[in-house]
Amino acid sequence: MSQQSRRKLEVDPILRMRRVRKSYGDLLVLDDLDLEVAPSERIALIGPSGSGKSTILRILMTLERVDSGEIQIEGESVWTYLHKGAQVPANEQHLRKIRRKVGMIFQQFNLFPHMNVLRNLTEAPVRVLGLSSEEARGRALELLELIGLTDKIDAYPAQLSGGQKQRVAIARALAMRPRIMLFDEVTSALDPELVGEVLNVLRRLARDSNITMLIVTHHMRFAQDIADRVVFLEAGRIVEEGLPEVMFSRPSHPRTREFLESVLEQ
Amino acid sequence: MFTGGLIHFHLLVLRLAPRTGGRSFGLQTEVFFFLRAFGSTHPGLEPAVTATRRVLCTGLKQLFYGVFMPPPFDLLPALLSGVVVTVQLTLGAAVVAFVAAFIAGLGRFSRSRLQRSLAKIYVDIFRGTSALVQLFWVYFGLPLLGISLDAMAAGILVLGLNVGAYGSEVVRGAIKSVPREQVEAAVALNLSERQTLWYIVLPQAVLFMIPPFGNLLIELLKGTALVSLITLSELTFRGQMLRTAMFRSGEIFGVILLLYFLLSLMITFGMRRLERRLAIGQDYGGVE
Amino acid sequence: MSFDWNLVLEILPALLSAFLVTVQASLLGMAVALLLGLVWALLRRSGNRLVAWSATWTIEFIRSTPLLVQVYFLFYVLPSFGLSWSPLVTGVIALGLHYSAYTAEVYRTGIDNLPKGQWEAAMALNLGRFDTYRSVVLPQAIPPMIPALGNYLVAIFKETPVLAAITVNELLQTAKLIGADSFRYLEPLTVVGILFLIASLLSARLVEKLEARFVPTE
Repeated sequence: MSQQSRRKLEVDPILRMRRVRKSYGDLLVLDDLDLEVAPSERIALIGPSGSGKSTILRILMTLERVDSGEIQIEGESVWTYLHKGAQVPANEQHLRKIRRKVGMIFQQFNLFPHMNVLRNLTEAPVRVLGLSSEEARGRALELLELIGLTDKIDAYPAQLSGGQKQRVAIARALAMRPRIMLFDEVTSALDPELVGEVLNVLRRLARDSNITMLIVTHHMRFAQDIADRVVFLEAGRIVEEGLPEVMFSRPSHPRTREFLESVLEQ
Repeated sequence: MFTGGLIHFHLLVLRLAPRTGGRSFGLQTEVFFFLRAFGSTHPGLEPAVTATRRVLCTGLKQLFYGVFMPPPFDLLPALLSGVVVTVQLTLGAAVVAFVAAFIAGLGRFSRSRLQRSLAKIYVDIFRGTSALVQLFWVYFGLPLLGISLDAMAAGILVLGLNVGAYGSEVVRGAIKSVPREQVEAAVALNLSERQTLWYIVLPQAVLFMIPPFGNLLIELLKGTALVSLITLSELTFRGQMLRTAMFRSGEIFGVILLLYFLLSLMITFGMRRLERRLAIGQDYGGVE
Repeated sequence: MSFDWNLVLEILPALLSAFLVTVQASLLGMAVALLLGLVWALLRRSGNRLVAWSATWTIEFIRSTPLLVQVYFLFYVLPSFGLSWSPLVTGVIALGLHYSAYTAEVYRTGIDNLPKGQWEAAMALNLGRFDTYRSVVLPQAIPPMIPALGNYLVAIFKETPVLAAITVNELLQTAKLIGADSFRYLEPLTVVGILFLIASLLSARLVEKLEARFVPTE
């Protein structure tokens, strides 16, 4: 970890990844990765495609397993748990306990097409958190106001634009009140004119809540605005990380400089 | 009075005379009223009246259809009870097939090796052997092992399990067709595996299943004809019976083919309407 | 009651020769289906709307009605047209007719899947209709169809017992006769069932191999 970010971690990290390795067959995707995130910290993950940024998010969301290494969320190990005095591999029950703290937004929205917006927002709160349908509906209405789509409550995903779908996806994840939110290139599948409305929701979220946010993004201006720390990843390793002002104006590592130059050209 | 009654009768046949008392009776009942009235005013002719009534009872429908429905459709009433049995058989077997398809189809995804193997064995056996052989085995062979089923039960069981085996492949394929991202979204929302299957995957998979299920239902309908060979009195069996009584084979089987065709058209249209209803709100390109 | 293995050994020869009849009927039926299906497929592509429409609905009619009834129809009706063929021949024709409706569909998708550019290139080279089909269309369209057609051969094989209804001496009919003779149906029917199962599993494996060879993977 670099000097710049070490200062931040005076409290116990909400997220800790230690010496994480992951391969897909012969392809090494994460190479001895170390990452610590403080509570309520906003992290922007940048880097070329294939660098492993999405993989980090998917591992944290328990969608993928690691080959080796340790992952802790709020001090609790994700892939092992204490059973009769020993650390054993995590079972589904344990994973679900961990998952409660994490939410994820996908590039392709992944809304449930056979449910209208209201049901998309209330399904998990009712089934997983045990909310009554009135409570869930109340929560859904609050969130719809937050994202500005109250009038779409009965619409089906097929009737929404890309930007609207993604906003609903964000509300759906927020309805579960996670401590950590993961954003996996959430604007990459959107037409340019729809990007702004989604980024605005993220900005509001960063401003008005305490949620820890890990954002994989290509939008450097946005990253500069919203992030507390920028992490540059390449070939499965953290090349450099630091404050956005520093990273974007005077990055230390040549690879960081090269990457930012090629991206900022666009 | 007799002439008047006769004219009334003919007018009834031509459906022109007003019905008595505002209630609509069947043609038969009208005639019986007439005969009773006639019998009571002409007591000496009682036996003739009873005889007439009996003849009319059986022949009346035939006469009516014969006047108004040209051959070969005059065969319809004789075949109609066969159609009823065919429909019963189809519906009964459809229920068995539906249940079997889901149990075996979902079973192929099971964590347990045993459940997966059992499902595969069931599918291989019932798809790999001829439906008619299965039918005969159950009806003629099982009794020797102590289990005796009547023709309807055997038909429902065998056809249901046979089509169910094909159906399980449809279920399996449809579940696989649901995009993996939907499951990931469900995981991200911390839905349990069972909840993900029931509320997210299956509702979407069912939509994919409908066209192939429609085809299987038609295969089922066609399969019911085979049950005639173990003496169930469904449509084809009645056709054979009529053939031996009437020797109008071409017409008989021609009409029977038309009846099956009509039934399968009904199935096709029914499935299309079902598909449209289930796809409400979705951007579904499956309906033609 | 238990299973009489001795009976099985006794009846095996009879069943095996019946198996040959079954195979014979299947192959001949498939041959008819292949030829007739091609006819339907070509008729459907006819420029004449009426012809195409009639072909489509004829196929639909044949596909939606039971094979057994079609077999009865041919068996009892053909003689009145002066054509008195043996039950086997009638059965083969019925099988071929019924499955021609399915092979026509295979031909149709196979031909439709051919990129339009191939047709256009043939036209640009001034190839006539017959040559277009012979040199360009069929050679490309047919290989991917082979696994699907193979599946229908297996289906025909499994449907040959229907011919027992018109007394063709294939497997089921022979089993029935043995059963009526010896009063034990269980053994012959079980052996017949197993024979079908083995043949079916073997041919499923074969079709898989065909698929690997003939269907280009994307």
